[in-house]
Amino acid sequence: MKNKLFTLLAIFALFMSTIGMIHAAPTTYIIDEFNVLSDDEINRMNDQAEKIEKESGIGVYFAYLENSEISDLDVTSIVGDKKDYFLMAENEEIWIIRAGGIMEEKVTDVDGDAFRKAYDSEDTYIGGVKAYLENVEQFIEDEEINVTVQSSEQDNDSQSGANEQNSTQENVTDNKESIVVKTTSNLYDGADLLSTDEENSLKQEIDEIIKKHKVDIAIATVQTTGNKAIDDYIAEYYDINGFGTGENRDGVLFLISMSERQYRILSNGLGAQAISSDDITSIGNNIVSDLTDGNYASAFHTFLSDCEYEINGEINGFPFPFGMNATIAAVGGFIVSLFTTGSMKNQLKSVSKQNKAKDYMKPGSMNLENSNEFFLYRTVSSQRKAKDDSDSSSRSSGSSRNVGGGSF
Amino acid sequence: MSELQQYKCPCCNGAIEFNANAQKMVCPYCDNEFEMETLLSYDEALKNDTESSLEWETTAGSEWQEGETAGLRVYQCKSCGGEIVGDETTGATSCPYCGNPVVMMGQFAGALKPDYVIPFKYDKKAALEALKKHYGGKKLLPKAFKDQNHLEEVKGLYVPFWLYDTDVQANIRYRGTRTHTWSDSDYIYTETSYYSIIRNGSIGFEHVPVDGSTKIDDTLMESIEPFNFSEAVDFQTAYLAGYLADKYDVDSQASVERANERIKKSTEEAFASTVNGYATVFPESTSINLNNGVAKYALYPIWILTTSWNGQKYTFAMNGQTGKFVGDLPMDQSAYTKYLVGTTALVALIVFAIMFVIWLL
Repeated sequence: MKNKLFTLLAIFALFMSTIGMIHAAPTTYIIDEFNVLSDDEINRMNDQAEKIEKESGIGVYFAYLENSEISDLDVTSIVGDKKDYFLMAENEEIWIIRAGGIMEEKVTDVDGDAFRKAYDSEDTYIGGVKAYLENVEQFIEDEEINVTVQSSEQDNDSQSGANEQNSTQENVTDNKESIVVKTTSNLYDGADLLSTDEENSLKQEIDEIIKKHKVDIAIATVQTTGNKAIDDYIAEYYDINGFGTGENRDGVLFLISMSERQYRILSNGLGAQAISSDDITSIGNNIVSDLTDGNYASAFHTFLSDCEYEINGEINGFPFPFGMNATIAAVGGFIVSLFTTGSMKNQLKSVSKQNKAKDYMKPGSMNLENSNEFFLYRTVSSQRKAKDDSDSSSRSSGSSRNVGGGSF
Repeated sequence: MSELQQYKCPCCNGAIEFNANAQKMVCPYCDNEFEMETLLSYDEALKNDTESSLEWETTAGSEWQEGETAGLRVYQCKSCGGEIVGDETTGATSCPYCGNPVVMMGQFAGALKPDYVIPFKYDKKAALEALKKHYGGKKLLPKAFKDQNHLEEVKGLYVPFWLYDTDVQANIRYRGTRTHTWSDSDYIYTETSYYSIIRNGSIGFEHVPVDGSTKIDDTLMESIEPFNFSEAVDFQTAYLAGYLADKYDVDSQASVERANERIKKSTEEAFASTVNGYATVFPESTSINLNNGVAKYALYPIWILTTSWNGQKYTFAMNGQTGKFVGDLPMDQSAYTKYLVGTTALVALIVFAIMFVIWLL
């Protein structure tokens, strides 16, 4: 009897330890029972959902369910004991949307339909899931939903002492990361994205620009900005490290934070006059593909050459873009010429079939006996607006300053 | 030998012809003019005056082989006795020996008699002036075509047309759409509503012309439309004197398909004009029943001008009633290239200069 009791206790202990392991495992936000997403795509979407939860405390889930009856779906099998969550799931072309906690209060049916449309608007499975996550994230930002504090408190209440220790360690780490790097170098590669040769080449280019235009140029990469907003981080980085030349501290700074996968460009003084918010957006568009592909050195070289072009233009005036304007003029001239000569060619043609007989219609003979119109059906199509991924701001600290950037 | 008719001047016995300007029969020898009304009874009298021409048949020469004369008709000129060879549809021509105008009465006798004729209002001189005007203002027309161009033939021709009158009972279903667009922060939405639109009714068409001759290009004939039927008169052979004329060689049954196509298209358009308030409207189903359909046979006046240039034949046509002139012209390829390059350069220079001035400002 005792042996049986020990055996049962051992099984129970094993079961409980297994639950503990499951609980400690990374949360799965994306479930793909259709097998339409690759492992890499699932990982990327999971990372994006994890980031949303980290920033807002909201668990955002997406599920393709093949083996589960969607009508009897137990939501906790996907979201676990998460209180504040949003879930969209599909099974055999039947969709369900479930929300919990604050999301249940905030998300209306219209919002739910909008998330679904965001998914439908993409041509690929991964594109649809990505659009869904982006739209939910945007909704959370717009509604200013943030339950991270409460979640932490709940976690602290429910978690063991070991977990509390871990949490404390994370806070310490965050506090460490939020301290702005102090450096006097115009090229700081804290995220270790560049080889030695690439660093040397960039440094040489930076020195030449500074020497030629007397405007400070700097590039910095960091692993994270911690709990500090990247806009604040780049401003502090520029100010604390004393970048900028002259009374107005003329300069331009480019910052990348790898954890957030965000970049920012700050222009100050003469730099701000040369590189406006629109210019920052334009430079961002020129480099974002290189950043996405991991070609960081190439992106930095593009940034430097664009900056030099704008600064040189501000100081010496922009050269007349002869080649581009000549091409535009030639293409415009050719199009106008095609219309003109086309009209001349048409003058030579006067023989054509008459497909109608309106000249032979008896005047006043038309008699409308029955006129009826009725509605059949309607369709709604949606097209995503061209999205400006960059956000820019302008601050004043005695001299003009522009900050802008985006994600990659 | 078929029946042949010449109109003789009662004064000098010269061959008279219809004059488009005077709208009368005119004798080119003594300048006497004769009213058209008198010719109706004159026509009747002439029908009984046909036997003498048979006396001039000859057996000289070798006989036609079987099949050789299948498409030919041989006539004898009443003025000079010369032999006039025409094809089976030739209805009026001139004698190649004495130049006198002749009308083949048999081509328009009995069931072949046209119901109407629109007399020529424009003469040969007007046709030549219209051609000159047609050449004008066309920068890509080769200069050599204008300068070296010698007309090979200018002929006033009565072309046989079938005229179709009908009442149309139409039952048309159109598909119409209305669109509504709105947007939120991320998407532009377009709602398209589809409607079924029914239109029933009747409409009438009269005198829809279809070319009844295979000798004349149908597209060329349609290009010189419209004809004003209110100026048509009952047919009299005297109107043909001085012009060429053909009888039809495509019957009314074979020609009606073309008329139906045009009537159907115009019926759809006429009823579509009663559909308003839709972004798009197109006919989805068209059911057309023709009632009281009648085909009439008429001769319409056309001036045909032909020329050749660089081995290619060019045919022009002028509506002998309205003066509308059509005819495709050749293009000077080198002039086209010159204009294309020159205009491109000029416009590019202006655009470039404007951009430079803007840059300076």
